[in-house]
Amino acid sequence: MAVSAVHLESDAFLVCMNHALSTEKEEVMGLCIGEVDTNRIVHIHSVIILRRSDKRKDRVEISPEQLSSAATESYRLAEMTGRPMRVVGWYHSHPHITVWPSHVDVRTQAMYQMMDQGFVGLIFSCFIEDKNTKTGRVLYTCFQSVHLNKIKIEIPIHVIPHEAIGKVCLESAVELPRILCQEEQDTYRKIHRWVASEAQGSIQFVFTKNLCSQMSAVSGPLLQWLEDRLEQNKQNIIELQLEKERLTQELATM
Amino acid sequence: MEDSNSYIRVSGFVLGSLMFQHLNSDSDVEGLILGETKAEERSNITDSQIDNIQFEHTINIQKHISCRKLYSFYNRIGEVNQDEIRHILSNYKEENVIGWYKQRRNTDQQMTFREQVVHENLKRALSNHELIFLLLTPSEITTSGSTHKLEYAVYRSHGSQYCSVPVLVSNLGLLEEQDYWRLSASCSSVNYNHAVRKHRSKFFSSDGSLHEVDEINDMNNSLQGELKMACKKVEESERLVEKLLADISDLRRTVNERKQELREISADGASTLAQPQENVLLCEVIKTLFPGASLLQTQALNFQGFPLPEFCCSTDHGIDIATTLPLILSHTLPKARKGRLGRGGGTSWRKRPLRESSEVPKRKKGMLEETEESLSVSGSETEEDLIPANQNGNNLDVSNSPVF
Repeated sequence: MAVSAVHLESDAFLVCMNHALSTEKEEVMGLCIGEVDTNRIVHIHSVIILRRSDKRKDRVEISPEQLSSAATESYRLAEMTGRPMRVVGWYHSHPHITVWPSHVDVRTQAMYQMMDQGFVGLIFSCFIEDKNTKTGRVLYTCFQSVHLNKIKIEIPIHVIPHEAIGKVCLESAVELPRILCQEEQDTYRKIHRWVASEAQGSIQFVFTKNLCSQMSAVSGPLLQWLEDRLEQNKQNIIELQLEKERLTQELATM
Repeated sequence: MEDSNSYIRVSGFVLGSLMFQHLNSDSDVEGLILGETKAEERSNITDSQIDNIQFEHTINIQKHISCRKLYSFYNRIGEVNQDEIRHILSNYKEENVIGWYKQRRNTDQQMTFREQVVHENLKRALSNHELIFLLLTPSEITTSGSTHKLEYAVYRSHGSQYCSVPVLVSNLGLLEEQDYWRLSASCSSVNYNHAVRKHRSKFFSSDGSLHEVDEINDMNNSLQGELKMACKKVEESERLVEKLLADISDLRRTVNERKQELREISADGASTLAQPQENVLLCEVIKTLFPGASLLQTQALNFQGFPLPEFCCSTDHGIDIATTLPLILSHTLPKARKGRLGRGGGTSWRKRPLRESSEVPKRKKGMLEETEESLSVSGSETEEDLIPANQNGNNLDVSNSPVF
């Protein structure tokens, strides 16, 4: 039976958006962790960033190891929240592409739904620009597949306010540079075996250059955002403490 | 010939953070943007032109400071409050402000008149003529609510005209695996290879790996360590913010409940005061003077003004009128009257508080009809005497207060 709606917590949305906006050259993907209630509403509390083992555009695969680590993450979230959590969906990005799922996306979604009818798919479309008005655009959609016909159905999605960022979401967010570095190291090691010795220097220069680009394009801005967030929180804490004292005094005089 | 190109660069994390702020708010949000501006001059020499100069103006958006509420640094007519801007900026410098932003749902991607006025005033206040305005407008694009869109654009004014500036979201972009395969052609020169081998040890370690690879890996590991530490600090601060928000929410609820209770208590008090306290002395006097006259003893009237004998007080208040108010009994009426009350229809009866009979002058019947003085129960007048002549004999057809 189709899911009635998806409620995506805003801090989980933030991680998805950061991931989707990290690169315009390839599609990124991840898994959604949460729970489904009796009204068939899927609540997504956190996401896990995944490495794409096969980066060809028409292949979207999740390895068994990744599914296993996703399950581990679910148990961790379940322990923290005291509620049963599991993998309830997946998301991927469409850089420079329309937000609507392709026939490959719909087929992949249908395959996941064979394991779990309540599994949902999210797509984030970014790096879209209207050349005339110079307006940038980011879109997101939620869908499921109708199993027999392999066509998509739209699922309403609502982003639920969550003013403070959860621990699991923060940890997922800082996984991104580590995953990118690992991918780069794996690519380098794979090529290193095949390249002649006189070309080793060249590929090592490429590796160094790519890692530097990752640090300046992803790790640096992420660290800056974390420091700004900390500063903003410190200001907020001062103001909130004043407000709390004021209310406590008001209550005491009543 | 000069050409000018301007670009705005913003990282995906800042754009995501802006979206996150608006998603957690049910109204419009706005704030200040901090960053830096870089200008580059490039000259191109072509066959036709020797001095083709291109100016590239890049504005980097580094962070945003959100305002707690709307209209915090400007008023309804767009006048900017510089003190408030300094307060919002707190530790940040005013010269780092490169613009401001607004996020509003389901609206056009177009500056409103007020926004234009605020922008001009802010330019003057900050002495920054290159000030930018970032407008984000989220909306739903399907009726089912399955698909949502966020449009964003940056505007800058030139005189009275506003034009949009392209926004580039900086990202990993061009990192491709193909870079590894773009190897330069090998050189077969013996002397070339001899020179490269001579200096090889300065670049490569004994296992053939480039020194820089180890260095860059170490640098990256340090950066990962910094990220983990920053993440931990942010997480602690988020939990503190969360706890404070929860405490404030509880306190507000308790204060509101307490206010409600106090309102109810004062309302009860007021309604208690409004209820007349039984005048037990009067009650006993009436019972003594008019025993058995329930129409006179009752203090309850119906909506038509008729006394309700079933509500007369049957409580013995334990007051001995003979000892408490002896003078009243010395002027006892010869007989008790039942059911004869004053009537309405143009005659108004006025009460006055009970006084000692010695203070009350004796009145004649005519004086009562002429003066504004209230009636007194002392004296020789009977109740019958006090009733005006225009009564129609129906004892219960009254709309005014009974006479005491």
